[in-house]
Amino acid sequence: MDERPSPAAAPSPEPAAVRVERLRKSFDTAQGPLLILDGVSFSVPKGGRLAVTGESGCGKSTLLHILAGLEPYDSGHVEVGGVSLSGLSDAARTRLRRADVAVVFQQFNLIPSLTIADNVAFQARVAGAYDANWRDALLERLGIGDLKHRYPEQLSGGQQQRAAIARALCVRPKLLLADEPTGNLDEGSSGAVLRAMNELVEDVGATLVLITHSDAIAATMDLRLRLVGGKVA
Amino acid sequence: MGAAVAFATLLSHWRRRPWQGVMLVVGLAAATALFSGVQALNFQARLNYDQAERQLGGGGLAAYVAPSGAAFDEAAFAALRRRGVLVSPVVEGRVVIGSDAFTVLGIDPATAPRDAAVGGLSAQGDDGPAPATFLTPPYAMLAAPETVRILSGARETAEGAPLPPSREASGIAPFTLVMDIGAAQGLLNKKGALTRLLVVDDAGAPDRIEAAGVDLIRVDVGDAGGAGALTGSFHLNLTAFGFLSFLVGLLIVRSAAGLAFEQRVATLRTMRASGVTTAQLTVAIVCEALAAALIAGGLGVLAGYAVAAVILPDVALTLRGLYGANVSGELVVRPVWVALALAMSVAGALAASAAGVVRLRSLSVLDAAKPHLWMRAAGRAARRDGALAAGACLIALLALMVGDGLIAGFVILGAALLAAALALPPALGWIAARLEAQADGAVARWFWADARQQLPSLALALQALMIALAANIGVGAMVGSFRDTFVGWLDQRLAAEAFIRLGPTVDGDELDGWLAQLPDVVRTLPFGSVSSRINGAPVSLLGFVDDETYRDNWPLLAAADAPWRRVADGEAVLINEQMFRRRNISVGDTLEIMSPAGPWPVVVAGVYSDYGNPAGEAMANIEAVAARWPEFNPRFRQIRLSASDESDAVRRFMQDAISQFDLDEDAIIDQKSLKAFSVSVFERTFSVTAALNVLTLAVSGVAMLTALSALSAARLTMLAPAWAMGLTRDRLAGLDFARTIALSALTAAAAIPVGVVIAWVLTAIVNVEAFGWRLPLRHYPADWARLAAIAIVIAGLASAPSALSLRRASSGDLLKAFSAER
Repeated sequence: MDERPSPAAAPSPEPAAVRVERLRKSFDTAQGPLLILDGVSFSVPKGGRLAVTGESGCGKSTLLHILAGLEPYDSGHVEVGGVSLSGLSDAARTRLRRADVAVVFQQFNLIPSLTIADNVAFQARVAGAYDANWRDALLERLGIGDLKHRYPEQLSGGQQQRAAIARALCVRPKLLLADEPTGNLDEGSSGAVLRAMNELVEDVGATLVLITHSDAIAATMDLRLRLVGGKVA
Repeated sequence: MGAAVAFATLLSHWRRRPWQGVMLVVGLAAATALFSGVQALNFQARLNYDQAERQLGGGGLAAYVAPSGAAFDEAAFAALRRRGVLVSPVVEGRVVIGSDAFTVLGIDPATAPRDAAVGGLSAQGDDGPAPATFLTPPYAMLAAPETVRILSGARETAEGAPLPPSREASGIAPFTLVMDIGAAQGLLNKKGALTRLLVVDDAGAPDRIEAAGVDLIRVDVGDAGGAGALTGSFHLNLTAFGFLSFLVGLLIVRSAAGLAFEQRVATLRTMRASGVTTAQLTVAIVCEALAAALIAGGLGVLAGYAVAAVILPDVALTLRGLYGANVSGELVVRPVWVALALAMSVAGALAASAAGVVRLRSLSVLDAAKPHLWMRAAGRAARRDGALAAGACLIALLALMVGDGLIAGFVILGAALLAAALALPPALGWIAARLEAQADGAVARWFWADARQQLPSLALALQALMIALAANIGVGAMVGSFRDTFVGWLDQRLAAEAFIRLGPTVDGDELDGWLAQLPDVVRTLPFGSVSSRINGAPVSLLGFVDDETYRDNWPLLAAADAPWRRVADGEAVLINEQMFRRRNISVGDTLEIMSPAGPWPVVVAGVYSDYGNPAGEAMANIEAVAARWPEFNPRFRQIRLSASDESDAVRRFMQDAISQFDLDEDAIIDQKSLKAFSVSVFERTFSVTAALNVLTLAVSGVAMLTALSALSAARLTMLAPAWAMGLTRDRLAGLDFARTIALSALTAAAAIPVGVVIAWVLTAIVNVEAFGWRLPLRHYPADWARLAAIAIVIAGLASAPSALSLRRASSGDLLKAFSAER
């Protein structure tokens, strides 16, 4: 799994931020069930930064959706912040996601009818943890402070992705899940966004699980998990 | 907190797309307006019926009337009072003042029950006149303020009887004049006569009445079949139209709400991913629907009031013309219909958003973003709609086979419309697929494939258009058939060249003598009517002379052998279609007509059409009637002139008659004018239907505009690949425009058979139940073509803005579609 020693391998006084054991997930298709994740196990300590890599279709995004409580799974055990997702209702998973978990999607998923400032504040408002100063600080540090009154459609792809990262961090999550957060950006922008995100994740003390195709980006993370055909390579 | 943030976020969609928001509100407001307008009319009418029934029916008291239904001597009242029977005398009748007919109600304030609103007197409180003014000459005539305004300046009835001074009094039914019984007897030319005795105290009354030897029969409340009962079917018709309009409006709302949901799927997913629960989103969606319902409902109530106020005078005329029911031309706001309209608006908005809520709850956060799942859901919905259409067809067939009455008629109408609406999208999809398969060239094939792809988004608008068109075709055929039948019937029935109504000052014998010596007058045909009861039911009995004018021109729907001769012999009568159908009477049946001379058994020799008459009527030989009704005095004359085609000669004759007998201008009328007047009454009668038809079509136009304007942003994304592959923006805009026109034309074609079915149900079932007569159904292909053209124009107007916006789209806009594509 890893090229560096895994914090999960060492004894830890605290429970892991993420713990996954023998996770299996399949989808129904016209040709029958398609197994996407096949006995995946790993853990990430609090404050750890994990890069998940692998070819397209290997199950990376599905894994991230499961960690976010967005997708149910067939079997295995998934624990986020010491809470098992197995027995949680949809509403309970939503509450967990609202306060403790934030997701940066590959396609930004900004709400088109809200300004950038309102988009960034959205999850924090829903969670009752909104801090306008923190929001403005995030926007400034991600370099889009002067765009906060614009609507998503008025921003470039890179600017929208920074807004999506700001929204995820505005709630000060314990776990940040990022699905190819720089996949739509050029190399220069990608590096700048990633640096800013890493700094902010460290500031809020969040755990980061990041999906990427880039070995260079993966190399900057504490831990690496490579999936091949739904299994940990 | 989450629900509030979600609600604010949902609302932000409308801020960014105000036009779509306006359409949602306009759709719901239009639906509410048409529904609440119709309800306002019904409430107003029922209010007036209740007033009239309270006053004419004696405030809910039982009464005694003559068995024949005619007036009786007031000595009966004195005889009963002497025996201690507590009754109060009433005389009622109709007078014509100017061009309007009024009900005259004469009461005796001294004996009238205090706790019943007889004549509205107990309801007036201090604003009524002093008893002395009311009771003594020149008396006073109480009427509703609106009626007093109509009467302003009138000093006498059309028959020349002087009117008492009128006073305004609230609580009196429109077109009703309440006065002291003495004044009413004078005005109605019924000196010493009464029409009913109200029972003030029922205890022991039947025995004492029998002991007094008075030949009166008891009539309980509701026996008379008041205006409310008589017009019930009319109002049911109106309500059905209101519901139809509401349904069409609701399709707009459903369309706008559905498209708004589709456009916000990504937003909903993001909200769910950001920690908003399904329950919170449901609350937010419901709150949004309620907010829209209250804003649009409020606007709809205002617009409905305006619509009702505009068409109320025509509705009042219709009710007076068809049923003789008096309805005020002024609308009063009733909290109950405002509340009902708002409730309908809320129910409509919730129903429109319910589908979104169901979809929200049944799809997981990530599913919501997967187009193939939506397509699968759309496929399931199409199969479900197909099954529902088949079910609705079955219900229509069952109602046709085993149902009965007006309700069955409406069930058939509703089920047929529902089945047609549900079957429309799959049918259009099938046609588009066939056309796609047969198309030559890539663009033509793409044209039809894209039309199929657009169908789910346009389905509701096209369904609204089809319902509106089918309703127009159906109602148009019914009204057209009625008009043609009515005009043909008038041509036959109004055969005489001139008609005279005799005032009280004109001596009939003197007039007949004068007419007999005129060289142009071929024959004079007197006729008149008396009130009676046949088999217990009130009826108007017409006395006429046997003449070839009737034999040659009076159309009979069914007849025994030699009907006219048998009527002339005094052994038989003819009855009108309303009586024939409502009382289930057949030709050859023997009826018992109550007359002052006792029961008169007669045979039914024939049935005649009597369009426009709400009540039962029978025709008998004039001498037979005169022999049994001593007070019978035929006050009408049909004049056959030799100069039938020379209108100058007819006019000269009328001028001579007016100057010779000092007749009122409106007491004599020629055939042409009478026909024109009757047709004009007919046209005004159906102007309400025409107005509702136009409004329904307009609402369907709004539905189309809503759907297309909401689609226009998404269309850019759909059309951008075709543009990238070499189709110009002009051509794309043209094709987009043509696609909407093609779908609308196919919808119009589908509406024709549905409209024909509606027309059949209206004429064969609903009309017979509602009015009591059946019309021969005719079809009007020219109207179909006109409506199809209107549908295409509506579609053209609705799709023009989005086609223009596509034409004007910059390359940047189209390229953005690629980068924004998800």
